[in-house]
Amino acid sequence: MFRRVLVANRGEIAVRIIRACRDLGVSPVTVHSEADRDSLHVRLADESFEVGGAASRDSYLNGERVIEAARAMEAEALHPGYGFLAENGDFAARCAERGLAFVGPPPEAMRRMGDKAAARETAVRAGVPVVPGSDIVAGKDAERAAPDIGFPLLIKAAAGGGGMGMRLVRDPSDFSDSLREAQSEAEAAFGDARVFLERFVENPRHVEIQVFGDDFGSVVHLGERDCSIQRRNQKLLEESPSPAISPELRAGMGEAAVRLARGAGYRNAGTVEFLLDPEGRFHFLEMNARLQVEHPVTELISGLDLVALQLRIAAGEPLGFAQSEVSLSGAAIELRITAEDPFAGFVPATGRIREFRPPAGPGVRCDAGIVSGSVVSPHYDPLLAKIIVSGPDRETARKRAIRAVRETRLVGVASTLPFFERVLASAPFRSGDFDTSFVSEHWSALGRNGADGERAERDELAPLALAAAAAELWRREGSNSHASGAPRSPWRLAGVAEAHRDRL
Amino acid sequence: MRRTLSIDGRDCRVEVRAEAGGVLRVGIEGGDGELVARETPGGWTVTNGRRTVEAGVTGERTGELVVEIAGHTYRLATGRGAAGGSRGGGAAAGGAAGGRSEVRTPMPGKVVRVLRAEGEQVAAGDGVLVFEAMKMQNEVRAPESGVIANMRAAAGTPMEGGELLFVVEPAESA
Repeated sequence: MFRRVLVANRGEIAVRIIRACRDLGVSPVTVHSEADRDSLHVRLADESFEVGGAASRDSYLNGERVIEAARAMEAEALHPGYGFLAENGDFAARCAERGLAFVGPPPEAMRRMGDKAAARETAVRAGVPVVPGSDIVAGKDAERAAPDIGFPLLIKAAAGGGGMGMRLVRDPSDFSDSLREAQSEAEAAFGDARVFLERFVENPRHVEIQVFGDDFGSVVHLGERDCSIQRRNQKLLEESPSPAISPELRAGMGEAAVRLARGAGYRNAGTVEFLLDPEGRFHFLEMNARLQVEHPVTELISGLDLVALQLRIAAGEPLGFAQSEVSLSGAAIELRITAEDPFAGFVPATGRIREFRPPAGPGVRCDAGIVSGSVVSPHYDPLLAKIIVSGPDRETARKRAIRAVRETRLVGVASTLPFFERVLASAPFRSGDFDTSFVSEHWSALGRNGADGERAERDELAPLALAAAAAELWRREGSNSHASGAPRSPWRLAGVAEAHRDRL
Repeated sequence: MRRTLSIDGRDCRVEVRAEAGGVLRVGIEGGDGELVARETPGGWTVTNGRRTVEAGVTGERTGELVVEIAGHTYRLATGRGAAGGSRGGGAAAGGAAGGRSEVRTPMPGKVVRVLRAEGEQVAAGDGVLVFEAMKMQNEVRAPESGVIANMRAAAGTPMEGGELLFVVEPAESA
């Protein structure tokens, strides 16, 4: 095992990796930006190195500075977390050149899975079902390919990401116009007008498989996570097991994911994302070559520490268990507590957190990157903390999640806590029968009306709100303004006390 | 302290009274019984009968306080700066304007005795309380004639320098 590991990230994931290091007896060191000098991850690490200004590109994305930090603090390995430098194959290769072990997949595997077309090709070769689609095409070829794929279909930029250059076409007669638009948008955004076509899966669930590989040819999967509760492709809540899949389907998806990882020459932790259609067929979407935000869901049902496992594998140790020894039990749900206002279109909120008290108790875990007094700045991802709950079954976990949300105290910035309280209590979530349209379909009504009985509770609590506001006004009045009437002092102080007055 | 606050479009008169040990008693006109508030870093805990809740309190820039309790958000108009502010509740314009006088401790010490209660009429120069600092007891007097509007001092309470003891507001002419 390494003696010292550089945690090249911030926030809750940096804290999570620091904890895994401590559990393994490894010395964690980290990096920070100017804005993060007093962050929790800096406080918990053995040392921290300032890599640059508040903006990510000046600090956490500055690969050269991060490698310099690793050398300065004599780290032997670098864990990138997620985001920032985590899926940058060139950066991973540079680490290797400098003798720094990169905790993640080999650079070639990372590059292959980062390229949408190459990833798709790898999946096809590994016999993993993909959404019916085309190779990279242009102009006339695209026109010819479209009818075979079928409508509705998506036109996607080959070099794309984040929806740029993406077009949904439902009506074949719209295809030519949409193709032209997509190509010019892709050209403008990426300098690469090439596109590919893909059948649009309607009402899918988003189900992903966690895989792990070591240097000795072992590859296993650790079951699925259902991430169907999302908003504009941003996951908000993840759970395992998925309410929608059978043990047979799980085994089938797991085997497909393992084949793909083998085919890609993959090692360490990775996630294979699938779209699950209403008929129960799964289609490869993409592979994430890193630790995922939602990894704790898998930890709670598998009993494994995925970050520790990543570090062991990066240090050259074998996985240490076979697929048949993986035992998944119970149910787990993760809630992403972000600084976004769910009642105002999820606009990011910033400010100082006046008070934070995480939830606790049986079956409740909270991975947070904040403490009371932390400042939420607009420079970074709005994820503040993750609440992860587990129980013997989904219903127990759901009730625990509601308990945990209500127990959490977070004052000073708006957050998604009220969103989860309402979603968890809602009938469609309880039933388990929903797809990726859940938020767009249900949130506006849930946001407006709340769950059953919420109105009555609100009225009941109104006098308490009134009292809290009155108390607050009382406090502010006492500390904000200054005394008047100085010429006619109310004080009739004498002797030594009077003499001291001016100095106080 | 007396104020009129507006919650969900309803005006409510409230009265806040300080007790020793940082406890505030809040009366709501037309409500049954007093509520108790205790300060926390992010707001207050409020007790109503047998029920105690945590309330987060933020904002006020635009004459509004945002209170969050158990996932419910309440926006309360405080009357400050807002049009049609509630005179009847004795809501002053805030600060030291409008003839209000705030009386503060000049140094750390302790309130020994409170001589006049909130709501009482006082004349300029009347003794209002006795404060002990530097091992000396001093009578603190009303700087103006008016009504004791916000009695923050309670006998036996240790206080920091600069803390508000009480406010004298001009008597209502209406």
